[in-house]
Amino acid sequence: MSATSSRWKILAYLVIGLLIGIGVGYALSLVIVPAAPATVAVKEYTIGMIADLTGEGADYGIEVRDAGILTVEEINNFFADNKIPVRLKLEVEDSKTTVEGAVSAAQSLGGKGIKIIVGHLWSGQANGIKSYIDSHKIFTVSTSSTSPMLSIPNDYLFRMQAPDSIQGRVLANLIWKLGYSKVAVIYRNDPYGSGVYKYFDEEFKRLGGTIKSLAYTPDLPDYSSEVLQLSSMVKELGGAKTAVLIIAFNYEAIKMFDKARLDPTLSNVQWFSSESLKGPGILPPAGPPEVADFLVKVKLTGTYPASLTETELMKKFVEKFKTRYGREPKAYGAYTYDALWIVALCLSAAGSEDPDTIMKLFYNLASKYTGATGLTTLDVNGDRALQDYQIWEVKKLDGTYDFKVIGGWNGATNELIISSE
Amino acid sequence: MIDLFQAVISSIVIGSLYALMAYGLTLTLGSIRIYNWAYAEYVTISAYVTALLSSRYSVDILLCFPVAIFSAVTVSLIADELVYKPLTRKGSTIIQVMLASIATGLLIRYLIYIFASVNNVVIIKAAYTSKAVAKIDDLIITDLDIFIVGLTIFMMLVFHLIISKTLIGKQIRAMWDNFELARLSGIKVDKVRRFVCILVGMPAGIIGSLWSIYSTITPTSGWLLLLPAFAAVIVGGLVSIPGAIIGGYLLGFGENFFMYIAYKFAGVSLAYKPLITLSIMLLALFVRADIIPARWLLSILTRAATHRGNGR
Repeated sequence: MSATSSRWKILAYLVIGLLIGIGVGYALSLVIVPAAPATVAVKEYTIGMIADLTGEGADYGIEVRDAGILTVEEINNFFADNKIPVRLKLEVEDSKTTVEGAVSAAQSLGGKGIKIIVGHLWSGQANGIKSYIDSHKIFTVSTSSTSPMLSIPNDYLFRMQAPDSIQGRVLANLIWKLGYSKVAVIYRNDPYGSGVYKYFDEEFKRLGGTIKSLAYTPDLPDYSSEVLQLSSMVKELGGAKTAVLIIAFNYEAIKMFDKARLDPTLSNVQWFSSESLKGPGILPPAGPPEVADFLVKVKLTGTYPASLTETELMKKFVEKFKTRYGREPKAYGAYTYDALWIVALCLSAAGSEDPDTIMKLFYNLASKYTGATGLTTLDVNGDRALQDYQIWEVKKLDGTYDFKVIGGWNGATNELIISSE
Repeated sequence: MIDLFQAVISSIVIGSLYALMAYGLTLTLGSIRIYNWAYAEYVTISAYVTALLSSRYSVDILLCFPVAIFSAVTVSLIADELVYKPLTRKGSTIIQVMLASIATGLLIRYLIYIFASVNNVVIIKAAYTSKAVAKIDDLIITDLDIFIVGLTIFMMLVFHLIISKTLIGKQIRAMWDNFELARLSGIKVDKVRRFVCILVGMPAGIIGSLWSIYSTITPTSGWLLLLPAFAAVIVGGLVSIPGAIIGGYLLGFGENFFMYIAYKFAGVSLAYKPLITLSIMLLALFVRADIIPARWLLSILTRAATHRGNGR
């Protein structure tokens, strides 16, 4: 063996030893030194929103949109603060206060691959988009639809408000309790108006009352003949125990009130309304003062789906909304707030936006969730199961017109309370 | 019985507004051959002008009228200069111009929507509270009823005098009868066309102002008035001004008086009210647009008047 070959041998042993050393050292480092935390990717989900941003319902739609923007910001901040790797993004489409606009908005959002929609979506619109969202499996939550016609199990439409089968009953009991046994009803000839009227009619007749009714066509330029007919109906019913119930949208109702205020018969009976008239647009500064005076004179009284005891969350939401937008949320903002929060929690729990998974989670979570609008338990149709209603009356206090809360309907006990003031 | 009279009053008031709007549409169609769907938006713009000036800036309601008329006339002239005239020069068909007018109308309407939404005036009404000036039992006639009927009749007379007694009116009639012949005979058709735009913008301004006092308005107010107004135009034989006026009143009576009778005595739901407009329109089209009920009605009225005269 030469001296050269023994040098190569030694060198080979050293290299092998070095490699073994590196391998052992690396293996030990894995055991002894803890791994640096892996960066968890934040998932962003886009929530579609459909709202009436233009058209006659813009007052409501803009509030829903603004509440949506505010809520998504709050959710994202909450998730960021708590290191939850989920973020929401809102994609808003204008439904232009028409059914066609809502369908087109749903198709546009569906075309962008959006799987979850939260929307203003009044009953006509919700009905219009239903076949599209069902066939395309888009989980949709409406904040304002209440028609009993849309209480359908196993579909993709969920609703944050109880169906009007409840509101119709509440209105009947309210009017009956205030001493009226005869009612002339004028209602919108669409799923919303017909829905409220149907259940009102059943309950009021069950209580022993008499009803004369008149369906009107939405979106007409003039309602003179309807108001004249309503006056005629009140005269036919006669007596002091007669009241008027109007189930209408605000822009049509104002036209009718403006005609009715000059009618001696209609301006001397009490008027009642469903929740659709409690909102921006009816009272000054947006609405005409002479109409507001008429509403005060006829003591327009109505229902509004809201928790009887104001939750802490509601107080915070209202405060935040006022600070941000300089106005108070009047209508469906709080329902939008609750809907988006439940959706966000579902997405965080599921880790995906699979509509079927989210739908099941939404159903289960909503039943245990107490939001700004109270306990959001749903029934088998995906509609709110328990609903309290505030009872309001239009009043003028210190020169300002407002919807003053004068009582309430307890959804759990089916009890109606009217303030003695 | 009182309700029946009230229905008659409502019919006359609404009929007057339809008649004035039908007048504007007929004049456009007869003289410059445009089915002007954007006319609805001229009405809406002037309605917003009156409502905003009176309610937000406390401008006297009568002073709002000239401003509203000026606005409608301006929009009418701009639409003609930018859309209709270039299309007509290019030799577009009447249907193509009509489609352009629909697009123009939609464009204007969405601009109004945006303006109204941003300024929170989607639903607004002019600051004028109408009062009852005559009251018999439950029958009420308001100052606004009298004003609407009086003003529309007065304006229709003024327009009639302009068309029938002035030189420009003669030129409009010449264009109405035969556009090419009028042009070849030396009539400055562009100048006359501009005058027609002013003449059709004026009633739009008046209707818009009256409507904003009569009812709350929204960006679709003019659009909602367009269907009955077009129905009146069709009833009137498309190019007959007296026919369109009678058509307007016929529609007013159909929607109010007839519906009241139908509901009262046959229990027909008022939800069918829009069918009145559509039925009258279809009937007029079936009978043929050139021998429509309005002309028939006119001849009956003429014969009745002659008969009475002979009897005396």
